[in-house]
Amino acid sequence: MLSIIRAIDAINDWFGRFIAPVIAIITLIVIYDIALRYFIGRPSDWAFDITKMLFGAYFMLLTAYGMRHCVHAEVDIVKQLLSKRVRTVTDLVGYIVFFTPFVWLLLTHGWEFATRSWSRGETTYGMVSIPIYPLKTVIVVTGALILLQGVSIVLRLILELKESEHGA
Amino acid sequence: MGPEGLVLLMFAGLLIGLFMGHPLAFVLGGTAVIGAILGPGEHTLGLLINNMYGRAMDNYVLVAIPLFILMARFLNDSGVTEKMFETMRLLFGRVRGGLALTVVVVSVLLAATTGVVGASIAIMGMIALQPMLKYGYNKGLSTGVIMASGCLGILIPPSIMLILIASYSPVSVGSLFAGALVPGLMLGTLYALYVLVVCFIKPDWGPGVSSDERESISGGQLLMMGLKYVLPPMSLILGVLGALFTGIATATEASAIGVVMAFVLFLVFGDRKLKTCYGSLLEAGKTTTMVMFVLVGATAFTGVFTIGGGMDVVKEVVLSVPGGTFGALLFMFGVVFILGMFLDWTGIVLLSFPIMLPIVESLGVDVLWFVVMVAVVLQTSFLTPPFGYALFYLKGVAPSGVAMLDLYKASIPFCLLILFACVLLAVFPQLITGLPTYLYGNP
Amino acid sequence: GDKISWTMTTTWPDSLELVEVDRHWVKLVEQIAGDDIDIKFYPGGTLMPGNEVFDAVENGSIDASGDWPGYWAGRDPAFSPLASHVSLFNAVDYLNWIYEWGGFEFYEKLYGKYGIVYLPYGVANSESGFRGQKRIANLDELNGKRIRLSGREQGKVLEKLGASQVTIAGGELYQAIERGVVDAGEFSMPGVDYKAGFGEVSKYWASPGWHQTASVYGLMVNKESWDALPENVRTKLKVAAQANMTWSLTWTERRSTEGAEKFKAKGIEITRYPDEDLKRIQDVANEVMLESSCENKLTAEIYYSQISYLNDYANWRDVSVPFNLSQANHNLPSLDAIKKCI
Ligand code: NA
Ligand code: NA
Repeated sequence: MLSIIRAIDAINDWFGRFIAPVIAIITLIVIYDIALRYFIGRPSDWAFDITKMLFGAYFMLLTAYGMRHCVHAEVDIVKQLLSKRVRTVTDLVGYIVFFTPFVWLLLTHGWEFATRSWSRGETTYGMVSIPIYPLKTVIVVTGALILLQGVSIVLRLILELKESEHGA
Repeated sequence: MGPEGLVLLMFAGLLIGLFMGHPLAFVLGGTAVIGAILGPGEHTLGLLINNMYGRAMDNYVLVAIPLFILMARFLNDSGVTEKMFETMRLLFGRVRGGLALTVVVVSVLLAATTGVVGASIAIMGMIALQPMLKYGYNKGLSTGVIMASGCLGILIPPSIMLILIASYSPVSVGSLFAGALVPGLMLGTLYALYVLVVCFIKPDWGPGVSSDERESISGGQLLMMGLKYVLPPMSLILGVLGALFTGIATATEASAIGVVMAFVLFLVFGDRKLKTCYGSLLEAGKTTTMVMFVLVGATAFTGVFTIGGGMDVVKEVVLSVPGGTFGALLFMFGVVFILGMFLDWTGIVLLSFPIMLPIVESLGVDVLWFVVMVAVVLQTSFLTPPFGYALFYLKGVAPSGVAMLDLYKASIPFCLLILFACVLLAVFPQLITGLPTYLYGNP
Repeated sequence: GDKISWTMTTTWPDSLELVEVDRHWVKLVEQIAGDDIDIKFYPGGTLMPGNEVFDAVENGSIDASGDWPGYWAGRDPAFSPLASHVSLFNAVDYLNWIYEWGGFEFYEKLYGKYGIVYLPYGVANSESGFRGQKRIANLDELNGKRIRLSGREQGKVLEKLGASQVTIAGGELYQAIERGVVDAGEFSMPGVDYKAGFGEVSKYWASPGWHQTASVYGLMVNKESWDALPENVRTKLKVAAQANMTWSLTWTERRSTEGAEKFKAKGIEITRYPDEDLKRIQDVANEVMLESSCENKLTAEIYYSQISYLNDYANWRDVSVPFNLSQANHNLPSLDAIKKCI
């Protein structure tokens, strides 16, 4: 079980480290667009759309990496009052009741959303046609990545639960 | 399930999930899915994806969020902001609470560049919280002042929220900007006064510099430190403002200019190592996904709330309230306050203005005054426990020693200050209407 | 009996008064079919962002939504000529073409591909034109300017005229004009523009609005929701759509008049392109229509039908000058050239 956890964590770590530099690319594109408009007087045809699309993909694809490093905001007040075991059970229940339906939504309806876009080769409607379907697919990919990370977290909780049983 | 049941279910689900300690983004998203299935029906689930994509992913204005976060990260990792706060502390000398005052001033300046709450709080949380705690500032005062000042971004113009509000009301953008300026600066001043007073009463909350330490540094040395460490970050903020006000760039684009300037400071003051730079990118990514994914969950939640008839429930209650003009106004501000705790501000403006503004007009109340009041009230809802977005954003960037309960406690005095400001604005409506009338004449 | 219940929205938020075109249709339906169908109408932006309504009607999250077909040109470029033109149809041309010259079939065909039934139910004449801090009285002055303008064909024409198209988010437009990030920008019709605050931040208004000489609005209905309606209710919805069409034309013209009056009262200087410049714009627009036709077969078919209509209608229209309805323009894209691309 521990090896599965480690493998998942490694995958999401690697992927997060791969995606994080995208923000530097976004910065450069915006600066390039300002420079063209200001110095040459002719803005880029694609910068606006590409910036927006990279941004959408950037933060979505980092979600699982964020889970891996526990950055997603949560309230720890009640948790602090509970015993370790109850806390672990509460965490498990949280993943079943809230996380699971949400991931299911991203995977199923996100999939339909993306395939509709693929089926017609949907593009932006600016001066240049830039394909939109890759960005729409990002929702499903995000769903898959956070499902993986969710599995890792839940397995870890189960391990903790087993350990506390043995301990008692 | 009827709309009333759905509203109860969704708010209950949210609170239960929240106190279970589950990540907020998933609580919002999961509640939305369950609510959609039990309320308006399974066929509406596609709508949640439409909202996530359209409101969060396909939204150019939000690009400013990761850019401002990266800017703050570079500033922080260059070490210049830490030295800036050290210098500021020495500059303030024996005046207590100097760093907290610095936070207020810098936040007001930042507020004039961005209208995005998550960004301003993340910025100040990253660069100011560590130095304040290091110099023995009270945890509650430090976090409270960062959260409260960070929210000013949506009130002090230019602000995307005010532009959206203007498009939903008969008030023009220009007069709304003018109308919100005085209340925004007034709140900033109140926060600063509070810092001075509370540090006067409780000296250990914001310790000043001891006379020994102060004497060990000459005036010349201090001037050099100021030129070296205070001037560059301040010019960065003024540079971003300048790019915006001289028409070189739009608000979103100006944030990219801020990143480049911060990167230059990183090259000048930082260790210039590729590894540190990559580390800044990774940390900026974590903060961005924290802020943005809460928004993703919130858009899903807001979508189900609307199609499930949640707004109709609210409307019925508003219309049935007794107590004349005063009662109606008070109640409407109350509704905005409560909604502000649960929905994102886009949702609140879109949903409540079409219902409330006709009521306001029929009551013969000045619409400009009302909408600015709403913007001020929204400041409190971001700060109010258990469910204020400012609290979550700061928690996301704060060091591990800061617990949610600390933030809950920290926000209370500032909520009271905003409440006090609301009373002032109600008793002296000229504070809102004065400047627009002076600039644009009577509407 | 069982009353059918629909959820409907539109691309227009409450802040843009085009939403009244949708509301008026809902009101008409309530009057003539209120016993059969109950339409719960949500203004644009409340259920989902305006750009997502097409997908939501297609996936069945909602039953119907008002739209402007041009928003869907990323799905198929042929939606564009169904929505508006650069310097071609005016509102009466669209009415003529849709109802009497076979235009309606193209709406059925294109929306039908996505499982959507379409009822055109609104039409408006020309948009305002460009407004900003700089004076653009002719094409020489337009040359080199940065203009906020939406639409692909619009952008192509603008670039060929020597100016550049800048894309700016709606929420940033007011500030962008105020601060001079763009030299000028277009948004909508005078009434809508005035409300968006352009009277506060601009000094000049370059007329006429050649970039969008008329616009069609309509209702997208999920096919399953449509098929579930009894025949007589469908007829009533169609009748309401036709009635709404006439109303929308007169109403938008009145609102544009009132908007123009307000801009004048603010002291905005209204300039006009000279006639020879408008001719040049027509030449460029014709080129771009040909280019678009050769990029997409259905676009070519639609332009072929629309220009054939104009040629045909000229037989009577030119006789009735100066009491004619449509513009007596004979400088049109070549039908033969378009035919080659079909
Ligand atoms: Na602001
Ligand atoms: Na337009």
